[in-house]
Amino acid sequence: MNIGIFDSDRWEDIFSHMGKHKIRTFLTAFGVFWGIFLLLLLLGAGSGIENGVFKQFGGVAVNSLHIWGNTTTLPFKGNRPGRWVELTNEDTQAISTLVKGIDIVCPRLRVWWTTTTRYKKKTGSFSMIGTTEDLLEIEPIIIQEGRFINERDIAQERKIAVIGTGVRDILFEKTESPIGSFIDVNGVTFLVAGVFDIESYGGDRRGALETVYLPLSTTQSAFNLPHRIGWYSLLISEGFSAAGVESAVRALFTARHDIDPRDTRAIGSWDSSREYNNLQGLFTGIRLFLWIVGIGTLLAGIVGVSNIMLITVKERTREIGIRKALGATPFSIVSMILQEAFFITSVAGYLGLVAGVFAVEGAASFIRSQPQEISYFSEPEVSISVALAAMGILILSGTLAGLFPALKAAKIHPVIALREE
Amino acid sequence: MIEMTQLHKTYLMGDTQVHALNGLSLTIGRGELVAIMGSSGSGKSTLLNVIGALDSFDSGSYRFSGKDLHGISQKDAALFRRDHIGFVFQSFHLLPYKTALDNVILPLKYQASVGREERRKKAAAMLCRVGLHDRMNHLPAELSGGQQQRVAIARALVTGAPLLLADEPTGALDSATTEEIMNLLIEINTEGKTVVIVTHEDEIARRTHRIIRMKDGVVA
Repeated sequence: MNIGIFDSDRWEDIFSHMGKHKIRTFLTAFGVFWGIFLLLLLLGAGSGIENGVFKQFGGVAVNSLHIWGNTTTLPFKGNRPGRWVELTNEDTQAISTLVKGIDIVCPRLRVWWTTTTRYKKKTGSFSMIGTTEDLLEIEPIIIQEGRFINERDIAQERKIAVIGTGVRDILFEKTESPIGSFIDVNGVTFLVAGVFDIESYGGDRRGALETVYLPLSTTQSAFNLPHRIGWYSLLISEGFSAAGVESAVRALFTARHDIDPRDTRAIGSWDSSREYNNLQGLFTGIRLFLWIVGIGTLLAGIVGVSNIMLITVKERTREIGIRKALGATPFSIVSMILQEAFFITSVAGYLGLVAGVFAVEGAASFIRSQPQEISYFSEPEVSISVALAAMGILILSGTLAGLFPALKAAKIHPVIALREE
Repeated sequence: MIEMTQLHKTYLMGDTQVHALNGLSLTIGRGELVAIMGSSGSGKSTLLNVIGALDSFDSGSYRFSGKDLHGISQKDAALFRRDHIGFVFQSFHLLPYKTALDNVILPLKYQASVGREERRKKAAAMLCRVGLHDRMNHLPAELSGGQQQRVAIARALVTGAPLLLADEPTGALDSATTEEIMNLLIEINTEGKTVVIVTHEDEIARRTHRIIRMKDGVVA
């Protein structure tokens, strides 16, 4: 049939009709353009905030559980409340052998009193944390120079230290490499084996970089904390829930340290997956909201197209009558109006789509080019699936925009239409 | 070609029923040149619209070349008009934003079998036939009334429809142009087309083979 969408005469009809009403066509198209442009911009901004917030997690394993001992609050088995739950190396062994669903058990011990670290004439007060090589699996640590703690350091209680870039900047000259230098911590000498940086971090970045990591065994002996463990960072195995592992570890500690099972405050914990999932839920809600707002804006554009097509049908009533008199079937009239609405929506929508993607990508590249990271906003993006969904909405809305006016046009009685002036 | 028996068509104008066709019966043979006359409101335009399937009728029988047209769908009516009827209107009814050539091409667009090039050729030939070979690319506004009516006649003839229905085709034209258009319609009839003209003018009617006079929705 010559009435199909590939009929060049039909396109000539559409273009000549639109050409007669340039401003109107432009404004109508702009409504759709703006709708899809804003939809993509909103979704891009949403993804930017989402990426920014999740980036605050940095490389912290999102399936990690952190658990430590507090003071008891209830009396139990002759023990008075207020007793400190002291975790030890035996707890490490017990967790590793008795609790299922843990990939990595990383014990940590912070020297809680103030220490002074000295290098030549410079001094500083930094966090001293004893740990194992497994910390690299849990924290977003990047080794800048040298190496991190290894198994032999632990086994041989080597006096080595891995310092943060913050420590390096305070104790060492800019031109100086700390590797191989000896630092003094409260009178104990440590060889600097490595310098670390961290990926962006939810907590106190500066504090995290002004930290010195020491082998756990060395920390226990050098600072007179025999067998002591401060807290555990546990990496949960796939297929296990952090909550389940947390219950199991709590039960183990409760039994091993004579804690009243009802005394939940005696053991402290932080479940990163719970935080992560809460944020995921929040962003699912935000995404939904942005889609609703974006589609609402797009719908306003579509209603504009529909409105203009209704006016067009009214204006072209006589023409439709003439076409019907010449043999146009109701279907060919419907398809003529639909095609015009669909053309305006598709072209304007596609341009909006392209402009939206460019705007989001432009913003992303601008942010990347900034020397300082912008807090809570990173890598705005529009995914292919979102672009495809937007295209789907366009096709659907283009059809809907034209359908009502087209059906109205098809119902026009030719005799009445021919009387129109 | 046309056989109508006891045709009734009633309009509702506000609360009043208007019997536009009130039991009308007539026949028009193939190749006839017929004038339909009557006072305003006598039903002549309604009759023309019913003949051309632009309008339906309530009861009675209308057969066109043996085919019963009672109760046909909108789509079938459109196809019937496309294949059998050429319309010429008093106010020409050309599309103002299309050239003379494009106006004549228009009905061919609704014919499935005619390609783009063939449409242009047929339309151009038809415009030459009505003496407008040098006005093909002009818009209607750039043509005189007589020329516009010639374009309309070319448009009515281009599909090869056997029946030409002209509703007051000279009503908007001066006497010299009326004469030209009438001559053209007679020529077309001589070439074998059946031509039915609704007119008020005796001068026009006198030049046809037969005058059908209408009064109150029936043939007087």
